[in-house]
Amino acid sequence: MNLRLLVALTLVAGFAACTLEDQLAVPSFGDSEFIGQTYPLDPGMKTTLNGVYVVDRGQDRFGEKVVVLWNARDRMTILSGRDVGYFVLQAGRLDSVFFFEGYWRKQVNEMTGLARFFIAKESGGRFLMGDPSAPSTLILEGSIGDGDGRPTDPVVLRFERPIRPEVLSQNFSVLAHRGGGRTSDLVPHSENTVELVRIAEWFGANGVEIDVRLTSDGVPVLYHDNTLNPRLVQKIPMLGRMEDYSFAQLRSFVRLINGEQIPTLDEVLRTIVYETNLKFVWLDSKTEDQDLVTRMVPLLQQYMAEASALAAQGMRDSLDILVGVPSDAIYEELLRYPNYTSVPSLAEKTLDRAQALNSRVWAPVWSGGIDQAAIATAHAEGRRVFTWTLDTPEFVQQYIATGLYDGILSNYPSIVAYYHYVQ
Amino acid sequence: MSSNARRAIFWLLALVSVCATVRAQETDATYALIAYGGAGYTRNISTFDITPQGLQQNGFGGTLRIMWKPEHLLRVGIETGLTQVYHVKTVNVQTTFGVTDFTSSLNAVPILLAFSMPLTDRLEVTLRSGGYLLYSNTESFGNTVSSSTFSTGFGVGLSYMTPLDEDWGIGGEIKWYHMGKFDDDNIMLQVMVSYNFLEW
Repeated sequence: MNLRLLVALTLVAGFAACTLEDQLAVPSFGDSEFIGQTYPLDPGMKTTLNGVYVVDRGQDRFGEKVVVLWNARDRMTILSGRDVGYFVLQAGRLDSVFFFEGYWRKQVNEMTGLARFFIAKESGGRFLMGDPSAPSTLILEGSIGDGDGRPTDPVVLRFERPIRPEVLSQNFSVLAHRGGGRTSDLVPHSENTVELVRIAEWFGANGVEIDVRLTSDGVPVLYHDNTLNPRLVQKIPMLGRMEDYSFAQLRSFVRLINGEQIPTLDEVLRTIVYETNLKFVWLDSKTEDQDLVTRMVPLLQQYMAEASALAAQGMRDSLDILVGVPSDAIYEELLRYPNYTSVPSLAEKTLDRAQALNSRVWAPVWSGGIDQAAIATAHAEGRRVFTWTLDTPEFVQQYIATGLYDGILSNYPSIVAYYHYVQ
Repeated sequence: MSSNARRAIFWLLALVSVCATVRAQETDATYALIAYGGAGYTRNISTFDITPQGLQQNGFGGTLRIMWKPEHLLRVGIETGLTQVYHVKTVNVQTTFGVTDFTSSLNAVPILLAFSMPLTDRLEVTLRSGGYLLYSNTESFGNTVSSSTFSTGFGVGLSYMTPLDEDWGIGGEIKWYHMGKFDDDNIMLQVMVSYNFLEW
């Protein structure tokens, strides 16, 4: 009996001693990177590359079909329907040969590695260069590796068809949770940071949800949890409620798990407007502080106006920044805000709230089921309908197939983008 | 403390504990409640991602433990006390917001279920499982933040006690507390007094 008890106790202690790794390095070609020696692609070439491709080699890893998408300004994304897999690639060309370099990742596990592709002159290179006599074929030939290892496993992708015009013309929002993904999913940067928002489009997102709190001196910052804790911040001698600390304290002494600073809402919105082409921002209110709405609304109005000015010059797409209304307290606070029906908002919970606030978006939680009548009413009233937070590929596929939703929030935006664009 | 070092300590203690069970069981049918009190030095051995200047990882700790001693070797009881985990005092820290002093402290009150077993007549190993109440206090830029939270954790230790008479004993204990929530580890070296206050 004693022996059994002791062994059990020591095993419990042993499990408690284990710690999870919380970082996954993005593989890099380092000095052997080739793209720097090539010429950049024209916008028309990028558009031509967009489409659904058949996986001729590499089906075991990436499934039968993938979607190639120039979503970000500087990276081409290849979306796979298998294991939340994707490629993030830089591109360049030399004469009529196109080169792609970057990494692949599967977000359901820690698998990642380098990837390198090319399109040969007669396999689409001439076609991309606009040669009218070239056959309209596109074949991406390449290889992938594991970690920083040299890519050796062959992968071949053959263009099947462009993304359907009716899909492209939909105003569908692929929303990345916490600015691009959760820290726990080993995204390249900590959640809710300037650094992550900057690359959210790499994962197929065209919008982000970010979590906003107020510091003790009233500065809106991005941070999800109530407390400073090891899930989000590096080990430091500071504990307790995040909102008890002043901005100066947080900025001077706290670093997020991957070394970033806790950003202000102002910094993140400025990054979104000027460094991305994201079209939608959902400000999720993580506090019931009376001042949160008052502090957020002027900022979102300022940055929506700046984005509109850029859009008018053709420098970016239009941008919606909406105040999320997740709780009774925020709902009541927004109702007290002057001209609240003109404040761009996104109401969770019931459609009644979206109607009372004149919200642009109604966002019921996905687990509440699909209320077709309410969705039809919201659409008839000119509201968009989102659902959240949908991570299971089968459910993502099912919800997109209904054609009822205008956007899906997910920790895995690549899977939402895949099922949307592959339609 | 690295997870490898932690695992090495754990397996060593597990081996000692398992080996101890080969000793013959006591046949004394007397039950007793024994109180242990101790105080002494504690050293925080955690690694900080950002190590602040002025970090002081040496401190003071006190322990109160009550153990039930049955007729067999395995004893069970509860343990509490107060342990300084670490404290920080840095003056004139230059920041982009100006110069400030930074002070911070973390103290722990263990609430642990303890299981002990004599290895010899005087040497005893104790394993603990439960949690710690953590109290922290941080001040900088004129803003003080106090907080408390509960952390699960465990502890292991080795004590040596010499009897002074039938009821009293004196000795020492070395033990390790692990507080899981913020991954803090403290090693303690304490002078211990034991008192057999109830027997039946």
